[in-house]
Amino acid sequence: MAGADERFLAQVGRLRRRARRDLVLRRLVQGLFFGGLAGVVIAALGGTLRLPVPAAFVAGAAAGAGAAAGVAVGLARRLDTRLLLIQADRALASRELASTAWEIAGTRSGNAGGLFAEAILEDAGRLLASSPPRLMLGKLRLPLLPYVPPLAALILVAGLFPFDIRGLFSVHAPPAREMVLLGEDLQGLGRRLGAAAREQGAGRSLELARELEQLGRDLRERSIERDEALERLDDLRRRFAQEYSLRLERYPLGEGRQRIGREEETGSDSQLGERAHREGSSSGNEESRPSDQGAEDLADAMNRLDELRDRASGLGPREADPSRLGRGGGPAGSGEKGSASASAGGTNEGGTNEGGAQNLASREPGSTPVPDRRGQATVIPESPAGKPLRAQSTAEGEGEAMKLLVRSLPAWTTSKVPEERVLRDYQRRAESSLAREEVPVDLMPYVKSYFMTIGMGAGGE
Amino acid sequence: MEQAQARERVEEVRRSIAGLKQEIARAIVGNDAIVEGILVCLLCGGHALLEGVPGLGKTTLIKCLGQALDLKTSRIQFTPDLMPADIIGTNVLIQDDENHRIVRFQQGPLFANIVLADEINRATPKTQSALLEAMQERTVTAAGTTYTLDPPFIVLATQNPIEMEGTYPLPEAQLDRFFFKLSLDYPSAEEISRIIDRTTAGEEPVLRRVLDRGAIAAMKALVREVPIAAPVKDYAIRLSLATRPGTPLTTELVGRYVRYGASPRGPQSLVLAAKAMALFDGRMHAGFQDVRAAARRALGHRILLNFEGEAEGITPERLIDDVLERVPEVPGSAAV
Repeated sequence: MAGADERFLAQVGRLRRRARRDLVLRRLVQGLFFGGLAGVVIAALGGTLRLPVPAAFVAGAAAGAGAAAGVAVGLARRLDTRLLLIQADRALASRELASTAWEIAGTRSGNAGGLFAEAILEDAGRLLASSPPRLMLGKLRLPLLPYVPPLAALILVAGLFPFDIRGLFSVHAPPAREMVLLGEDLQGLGRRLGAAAREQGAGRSLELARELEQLGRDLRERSIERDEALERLDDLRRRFAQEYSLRLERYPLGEGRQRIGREEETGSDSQLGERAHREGSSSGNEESRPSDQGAEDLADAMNRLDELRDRASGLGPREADPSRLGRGGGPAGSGEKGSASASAGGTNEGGTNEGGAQNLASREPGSTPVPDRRGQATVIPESPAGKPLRAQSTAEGEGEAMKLLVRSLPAWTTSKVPEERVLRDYQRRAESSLAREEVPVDLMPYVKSYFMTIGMGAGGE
Repeated sequence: MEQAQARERVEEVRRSIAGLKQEIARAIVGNDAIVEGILVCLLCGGHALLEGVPGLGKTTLIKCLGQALDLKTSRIQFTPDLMPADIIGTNVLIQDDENHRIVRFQQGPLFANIVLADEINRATPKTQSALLEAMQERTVTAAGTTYTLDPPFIVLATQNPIEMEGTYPLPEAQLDRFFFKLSLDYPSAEEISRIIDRTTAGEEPVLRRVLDRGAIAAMKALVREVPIAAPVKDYAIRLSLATRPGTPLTTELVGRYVRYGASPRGPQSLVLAAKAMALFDGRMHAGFQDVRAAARRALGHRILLNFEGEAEGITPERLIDDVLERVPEVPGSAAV
């Protein structure tokens, strides 16, 4: 009896091991597939996301993790021996012989099976021993296996050729041709600034101009991505502003030409440029000196850079950066927010604004288009003096006015509409509803009495 | 040693049943399933309700069984005026040899091994219920005295499904006491031809004895020894539950057309019948297929249709087929 019992249980153990192996294999392939799927997504986004390691490694790790998770699940899942034996019985058409034997073996202490117990165990053991597990468990099917190699190939390809998903959306990524044109503009600007700086002997300005030219060249040759170009552009813009600020610090406003004259012999290019700049503002008829031209160029460059930056970002005109400077030397944040190139500094209004307005000067006589915060051109009429206005004079910190469409009166607002008019309007609507028979006939008296109650009865009209 | 003995006994049962069927087939043409059903009832200690139009050989079948099994048979024709005493027996006053008058119990036709209760639905409920005690307890009580019926005791009741006028349909409690309900069908043309050949030429065959009551008792005991796997038993229970309205396993048809489903006697009958059929097949264990094979016969008469079901002409057999189709042998997913 014990022998038949042990033989049967040994065969059940063999079947269980085989079933476990199949289960682990199946889960492994599933894990590999889904991990690989995630890997492909990661690899595809590798060009877009900035990952600390190559995207192919991360993708491979995802596939590996999926496989490991699959194996873990396969090992952890409980195998129901009863179901396993029923499956074997079905496959072998043994009319639940193995299941009955399992029942008997499971209750050895009792008298399960009685007279037939030993014979059943013997028969079941022999049946399981003579049948290949593949026949009992069915053919191992791994339907996802064929998809695993293509996924691996996709990961490899995506790793070798990183793909920036943002390139699919033209709204965020300007077409390459646009970037090339932008590069040409930047290169031209850099070249002009460089020539001017070289002429004035301004070392830092020359260095900035060269970097600008290089950035333009890189963009033309498409050797850098848009994001990098934007970063470099921002950096240059910041440094231009610093250079400009430096000049203003060394030559505070209002000190006049005497100081300029004193420092003329020893001043740096920035000092000279600023001095000339202010000199030009105070006596516009006087011929500009080379150093004046340097400040002009810096201001021009910053305005131009703002424009190009907006073009590059592909998002239309940006809101004014408080750090941006207007042509006149005042902080732009003190003026209108929508016009990045506008200067609203109170101290330098007038003559100094004139040069800064060149870039956005109106093509139509008598008006000047200024981009507002929504990117739409707002036409500002020319000043009586015939000079285009860059911004309307506003108090410091005052931005663009916003219009609010109020559809219902807020609780704290004092209503200006007489109550009778409102109620009358409601009454009219209620009556028209009643006339259209939207209210059930038997409810009409209630509606009527409601309006009577709130004072809309005969005296309401 | 034990193994060999077990195998030998199973083989003996298989051989005996096959021989019995063969012997009955000498007199009865067709109706193999009915014969097997009656034998299952006999070995499981149950009773069978035979349903079929007159002239299909029900009485002949009972007679043949009695001959082949060497059992005492009796036939009771149920009529509206049949009284309980007519079937149970009664105390009669008799005069003995010494001219003393004594009261003696005169056994009724129930005192037999195989009782054919012909057209049972024609008797009054009072008489029908007199049969209940005999069917369930295997005892008969008359004038305060209880008499035990000789084993094996099997009631084969017949119902005529076409003449319902003036009948008393069996109450549910009595229907539930029948192990199987067996429906006799019209024989095929070929079978009719064979019936004509046998009954119109020469003498009717006399059947030889195949089994005696001792062998039958041993087989009855052996049926209960047959083990059944838990999933198979569970399947029988779930099938039974599925015939009841308002359970999680209730099928749509059952929920719509059934008033009452199978009682716990249903799965009992299913499991016992599955065991007996496994033995008939020479197996020492019962399987799903045995349960399915017994389902229509064991559960059909235990399902009580509601008014809508009656009006729609739904049969319990159709509901059982639906239940068999919808209830899985093993709930849940695959093992691997």
